[in-house]
Amino acid sequence: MRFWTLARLRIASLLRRSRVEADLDEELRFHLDREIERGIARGMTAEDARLAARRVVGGLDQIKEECRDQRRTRVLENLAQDTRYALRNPRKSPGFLVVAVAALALGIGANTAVFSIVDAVLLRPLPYPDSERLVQIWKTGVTTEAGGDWVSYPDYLDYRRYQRSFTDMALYRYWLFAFGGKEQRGIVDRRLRIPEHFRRSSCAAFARPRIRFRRRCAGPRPRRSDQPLILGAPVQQRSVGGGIRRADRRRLLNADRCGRARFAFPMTIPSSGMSAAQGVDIWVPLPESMLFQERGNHNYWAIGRLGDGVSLGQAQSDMPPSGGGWLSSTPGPTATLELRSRAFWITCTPVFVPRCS
Amino acid sequence: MQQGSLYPALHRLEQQGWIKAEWGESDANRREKYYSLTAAGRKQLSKELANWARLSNAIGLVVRTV
Repeated sequence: MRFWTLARLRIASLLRRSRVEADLDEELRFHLDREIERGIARGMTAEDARLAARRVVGGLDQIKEECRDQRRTRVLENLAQDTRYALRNPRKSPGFLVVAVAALALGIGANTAVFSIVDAVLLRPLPYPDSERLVQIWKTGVTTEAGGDWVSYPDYLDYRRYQRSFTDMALYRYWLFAFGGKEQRGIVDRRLRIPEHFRRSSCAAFARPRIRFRRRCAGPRPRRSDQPLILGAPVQQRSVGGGIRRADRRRLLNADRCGRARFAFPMTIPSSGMSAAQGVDIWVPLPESMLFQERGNHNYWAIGRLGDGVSLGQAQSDMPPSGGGWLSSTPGPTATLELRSRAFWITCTPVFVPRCS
Repeated sequence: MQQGSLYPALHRLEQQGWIKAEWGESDANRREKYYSLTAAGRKQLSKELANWARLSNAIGLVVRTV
C-alpha cells in the first residue's frame, strides 16, 4: 500500500514537474517576503530587511535543490536531460557523431572477431564425438630423428588388431590429385585426404549426424564394392572457370565411360556442418597398391579415440611394438601416443573416426 | 531550526506521504500554504513518539545511575 502511495507521489512529481517547481518557488518567495515584512516592521530599511531575510531563510537556489533531492526523481530527470542533450548534440557537430560511430563500430567489430576466435578455438565443442579423447599415433625408433614418424598401413593394422585401449582408429594422408578430362583441363585439386574408413562404404561414418552426404549423380546404384569418391565443398565452390565443369565431373566420376577414375558413387559434402572437411577437395579411399602395403612406407597419419576412462599412459603401455616385434624377441619400433590440442584438431586434421564395429 | 532546513524537511515528509500541503487563505487574506498530517503521517508520528519515549527513558535511566 505504502509502495503505491510513494509511487504515485514520485510519478506526480515527474509529470507535474513545472507545477511542483512553481509551488516550491511560490512557497519560498512567500516566506522570504514575510521575513522582509517582519524586518521592515522592526524598523529596518527595505534593503536591510531583504538582506536580513536572505540570511534567515538561506540561499533559495540551495533550498530548491535540497527539496528536489527529496523527491527522489533526480536520476530520471537527469537521464531525460542527458538524453535530450545527446540527441541535440550530433545535429550541431556531425563530425563528432561520425567519429563516435566509427569508434564504436571498430570496437564492436574487434571484439566480435576476438570472441569468434576464442569461441572457435576454446569454447565451442569440436565437431567430433568425444574429441577430448582423440590421440595422434606416432611411431618412434624408426629413424634417429627427434620426434616420431608417421606410420605405415601394416603398422596401423597391427595397432588396430592388438590394441585394447581404443574404441576407434583411422588412417589418412594428403595427396595431390590430378583432376580433369582427357585434356587435363581444370587441374584444381590440391590435396587428397584418405580416411581409412572410406574403405568400408557401409561404415556408419556415412550416417554420422554431423556428416551428411547427398547423391548428386543419377544413374544405377553402385555395387557395394565400388569405392566412393566424395567431393568437398571447396571444389564445388571454386569459381575459376565456373568450378568443376559438368563434363569434367562426369569424366572423373564415371569410371566406365572415362576409364581414368577408379571411383564411382559420387557424393558431395555440404559446405556447412563439417568444419573438419573444409579445405579438402576430394575424399577417396586408401589405394590398394603394393607401396601402400609396405611396412616401411611411413606416410600415413594415424589417429585413435581412447576408450572411456582410459588414460594416455594406459593406452601407451597397451600399444604393441609394430613390425611384429611383440611376437618375437626382437623389439620393433614403438608406437607413441600424443594428445593433441584443440587447435591441432581444428586446423590440421580431418578427424573422421567413425563408430564402426 | 533554520528555515533553510525546514523546507527540504517538509518536502521530504510530503514525499513520504506523511503530510500533505494545501494552499489556502490566511486571516489577513493572504495566500499561504498549510501542511497537515495524513493518516500514514499520524501512524508514523505515534511510532516515532514511542521510539522517542523509549530512548529518552533509557537516557534517563543512564543519567540517574551515574
